[in-house]
Amino acid sequence: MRRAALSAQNISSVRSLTSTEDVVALLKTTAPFQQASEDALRRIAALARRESYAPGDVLYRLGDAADDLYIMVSGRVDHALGTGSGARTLNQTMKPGDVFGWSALMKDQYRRLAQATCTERAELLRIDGHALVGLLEADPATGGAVLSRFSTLITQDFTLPEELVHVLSVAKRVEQVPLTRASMDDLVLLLKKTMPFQVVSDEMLRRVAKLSRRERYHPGEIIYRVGDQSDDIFIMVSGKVEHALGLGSGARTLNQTMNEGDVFGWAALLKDQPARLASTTCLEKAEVIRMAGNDLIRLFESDPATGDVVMSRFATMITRDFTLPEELAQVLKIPKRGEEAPPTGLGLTMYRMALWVKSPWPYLMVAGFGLFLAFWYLAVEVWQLPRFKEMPGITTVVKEWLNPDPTYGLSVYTSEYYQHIWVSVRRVAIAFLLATGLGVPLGLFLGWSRNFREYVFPVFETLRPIPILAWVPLAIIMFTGSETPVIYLTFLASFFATALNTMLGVESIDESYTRAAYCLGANKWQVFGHVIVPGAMPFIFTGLQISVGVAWFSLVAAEMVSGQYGLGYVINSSYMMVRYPTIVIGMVTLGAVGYTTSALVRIVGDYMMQWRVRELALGAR
Amino acid sequence: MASTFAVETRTRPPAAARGAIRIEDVVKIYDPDGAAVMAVDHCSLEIPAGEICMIVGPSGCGKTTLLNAIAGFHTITSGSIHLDGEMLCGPGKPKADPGADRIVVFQNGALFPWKTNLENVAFGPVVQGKMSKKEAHDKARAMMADAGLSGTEHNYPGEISSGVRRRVEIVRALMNDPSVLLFDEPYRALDSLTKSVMHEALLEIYYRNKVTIFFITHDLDEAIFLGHRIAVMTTRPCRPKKILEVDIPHPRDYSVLTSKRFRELMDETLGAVHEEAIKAFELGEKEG
Amino acid sequence: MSKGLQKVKGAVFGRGMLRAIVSIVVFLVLWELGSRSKQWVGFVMPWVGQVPAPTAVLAAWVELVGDAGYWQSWYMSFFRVLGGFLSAMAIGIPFGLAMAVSRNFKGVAFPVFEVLRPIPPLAWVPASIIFWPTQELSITFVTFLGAFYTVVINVLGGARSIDVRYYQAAQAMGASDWDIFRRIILPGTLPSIVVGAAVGMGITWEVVVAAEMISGGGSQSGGSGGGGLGFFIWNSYVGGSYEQIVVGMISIGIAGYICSEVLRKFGGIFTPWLRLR
Repeated sequence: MRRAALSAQNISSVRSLTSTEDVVALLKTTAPFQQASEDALRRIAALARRESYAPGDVLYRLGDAADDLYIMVSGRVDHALGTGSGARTLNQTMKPGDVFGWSALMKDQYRRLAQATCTERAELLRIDGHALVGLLEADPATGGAVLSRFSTLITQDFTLPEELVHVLSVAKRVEQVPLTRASMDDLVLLLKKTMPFQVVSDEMLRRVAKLSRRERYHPGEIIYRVGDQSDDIFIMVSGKVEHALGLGSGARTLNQTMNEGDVFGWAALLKDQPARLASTTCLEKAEVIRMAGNDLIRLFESDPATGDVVMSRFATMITRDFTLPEELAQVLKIPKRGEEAPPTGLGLTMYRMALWVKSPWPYLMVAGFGLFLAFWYLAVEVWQLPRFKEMPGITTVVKEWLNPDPTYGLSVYTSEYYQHIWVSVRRVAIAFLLATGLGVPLGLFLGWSRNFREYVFPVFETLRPIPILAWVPLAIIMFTGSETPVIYLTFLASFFATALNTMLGVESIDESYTRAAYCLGANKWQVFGHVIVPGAMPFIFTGLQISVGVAWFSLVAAEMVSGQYGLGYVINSSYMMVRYPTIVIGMVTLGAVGYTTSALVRIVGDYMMQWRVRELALGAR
Repeated sequence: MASTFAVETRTRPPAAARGAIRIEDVVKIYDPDGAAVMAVDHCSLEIPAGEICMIVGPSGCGKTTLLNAIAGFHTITSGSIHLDGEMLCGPGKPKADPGADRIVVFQNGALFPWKTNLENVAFGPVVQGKMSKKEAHDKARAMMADAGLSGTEHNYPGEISSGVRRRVEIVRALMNDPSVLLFDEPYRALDSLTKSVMHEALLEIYYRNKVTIFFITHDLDEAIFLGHRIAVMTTRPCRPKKILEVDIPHPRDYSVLTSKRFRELMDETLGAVHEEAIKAFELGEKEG
Repeated sequence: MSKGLQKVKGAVFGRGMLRAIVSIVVFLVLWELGSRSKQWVGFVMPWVGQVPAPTAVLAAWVELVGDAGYWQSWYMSFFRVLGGFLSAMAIGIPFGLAMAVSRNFKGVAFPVFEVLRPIPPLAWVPASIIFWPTQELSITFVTFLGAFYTVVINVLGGARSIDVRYYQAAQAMGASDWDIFRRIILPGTLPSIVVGAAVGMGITWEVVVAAEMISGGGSQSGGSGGGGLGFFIWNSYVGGSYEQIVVGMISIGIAGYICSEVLRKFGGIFTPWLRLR
């Protein structure tokens, strides 16, 4: 419906039908409906909507969903069949009384075979193909005639090859058996006999029965084929149907005969299974009832408890009677009310938030912080316990921090505060990027090439036990200026963590992966790019997490000893100058900034390793 | 019965098919810390093109060493291995070059967890430069559909069940049109129900593709059900102890398992294997 | 016997060992050349040119071996590391176990813990000096903090990784809560405690050095040996004896390495069931 209807809505107003009589009169002039009874036409007319289109409007395009049938009231429409349709004449102009959009009535034809473009302001009647077929099926006498006239129309006027239209075989497609109240009771009885519905209450079964259509098939008719869209499920009323599972289904027994009470077409209820897994052919004149799988699922939403039972019985039936491997027989879940069926994005976050608020954790957390802060406040400012009273109190710290005119010169209102943060972040960023840029490749090669490792790793291991901070004086001697030594120290710590973890990451890769890659014809560098690098990724990111942590750790030390600016310097100089509240401001800021950077690394890691995120998500379930 | 016979003659591989393996007098001595360990001892085995040969033996007997030698993961100490008359490894060339004509399906599976199933299947032709990425993806999609794996293309291997993973791995191997598939106990970790499904799926693939299959296992049901012949190996050092022809006609399905002939073959194999298993147990070999 | 001997031979004269020796020798030679570049080439290599040469370092070291102050530094640093480390274990392990056992306690304590954790231990140095009455205690406290976070996180992680089936099995056999704690949670977390301790030990050395530099580096601790190895380095820097800086660095490296090895041995004794892995 979708594209054509949308474009039509832009310009045309759906007018109210002038009168049913007008429509009936118009229908009478069209080829397919000419000989239908007045009564039938009236019912068909009730389905029609009248729409108008402006020149240039595209009613539908090749490959759109084939939903509605169109009848021209006035104007002109260009009808261009696709070359794939096999028609002899591709382009035609539709004039009043002409009928097009008939692919909506074709069997196994869900897509448009042509494009219809309005060339002159046109008025059209649109009839939903599904509804029309439903009507025609209900009145087989008229229906057969109308549908066979459609076949003629398609072959003669639209020059489609006979064999294609024969395949459509619209006329003999269905023989619908009308459902009466009495037959409804029969249906409920029948459903009771089927394996999946055995345990369902009569009340519910009646509602299931209401979803059903009853059809007859003749011997040799194919109900559906492997790969067809799996929409409906079927229940045998009488007759025999051959059910042949495709080889790909993995079933042990492929062929089975369906008898009264058997259920097939269950692919409609399988998860991620849009196509039929089997072909079914009528062996003896058969009567079946069919219903849309989606309707059934929707119905059970009102009673998820029953729904779950029915679905699990379906699963059992599929594995036991149809011998499908369990892993393939994953039936759909009945969505529960109030529990958003798979929540995503914001919805998921909201849902988790709601769950969290309902749990005791947030309250315990508040209690924890409350205790901590209260102790701080009481011990320092109220009770003034020995030792504690020397410390800056919480109120002093907060007042200083939020003071536009801070006593000791540093608060959220002073630009120095941000400058210190900026300097520290900049140093960490430079050091971290350098360490990543050098450490990751080094680690990859250390892990990958045994020769390289045997020559280089011993030096690496000799230097590593020396605490980074023991390098401070040496760094000051080696590098000029005050900035380089600080960055060098910060870098060094990160570098060791990154390189080491990357190397461990490469070593953690199962040898099968590299062997498999060689087997599949990859050369050495391809193995490196396709196996070593992605395989080491989880460890690399663990290493980077550690790396950011130690970067801050050593940055603080370096800044305290030799910095001129930055948060570590703030803390140390505030101590020297007896600005105690500022020490705490520096510490807390440092914690917050440090946490943010490591969270950033984690987010980048998750983004780059979707495969791992998904794997872990499954493992956690 | 007559009709099965007709099918049988059709499924027997034509003599000219690729993938004949000749293992001649292969010896493999490991030298981990000075003390030589003989893993394979003067082993000779001939596998005709297009046959399924099952290698059965106790854990750690050296079967995998043999497979690694064919695949080109390890050197051999002496002897030679030929594929279709061409020497893979032998005098002057202790290690075969790994290549896409002999593809291994690994014990624990080796689908790259960081690539989607589709990317995994398309991997071979892409790295070999035989196809563009798009061509390879199209072919991979088609082959996966043939194997009933549609819908899993964009999943990562970590998201699908282990049975499906094995099937994807086999499709990945077949993408390269190999002459030999080397199976290293691929179904070891699967439960017996899934295993039975996998066996039939494998036979189906085999009937369609006709590759030589070198299949290591210590599951006798599996060996008799799948194989044209079974080589029972001695425990370390490894050498064929007994070679059995499985004269149950192909194509087979699960009804074979309950047939009389199957039981008889089982008895015959079991005797030979059990003896070796006891020897291996007494040697205290660890799994591997 | 002969097999064992061969193994030893293989380890000593194996390719890996040989290459390790080659690589370290090459490294030392390059270093020597770099530092002496001024004398030999007449051009000061950037960076390395400022670093004292290995031979000079060795000479300085030989001199120091007889110096009591140097060994006093070792002793001081060891003492502080041990103090900080042991208190971190003594407080961290029960704290971590308490969080592992009681969900409510974890709910209260863990968020506060997580908020304090990102603050680097060294940022606590000034606050610690203000709070604790003696210099010694404040250094020990900062050292304690360094190891504390790691130990707690490892205990928690270890407790979480215990297989549920162990609990079920124990309950099925009628174990009390105390039994479960003693026989399952405690041994189950031991391996992670050992790992946490090893990592914590590394951090402790890092922190001790820095804390000594920052606090002792000022003035108070009298004598050349009163401040520990970190102070030794700082003092050498201030005094301009650059060779001693490198001696100090290497000494700390060795000290840290010894501690980790000892810890690993201890860990092995406590977790005998992991020995065969």
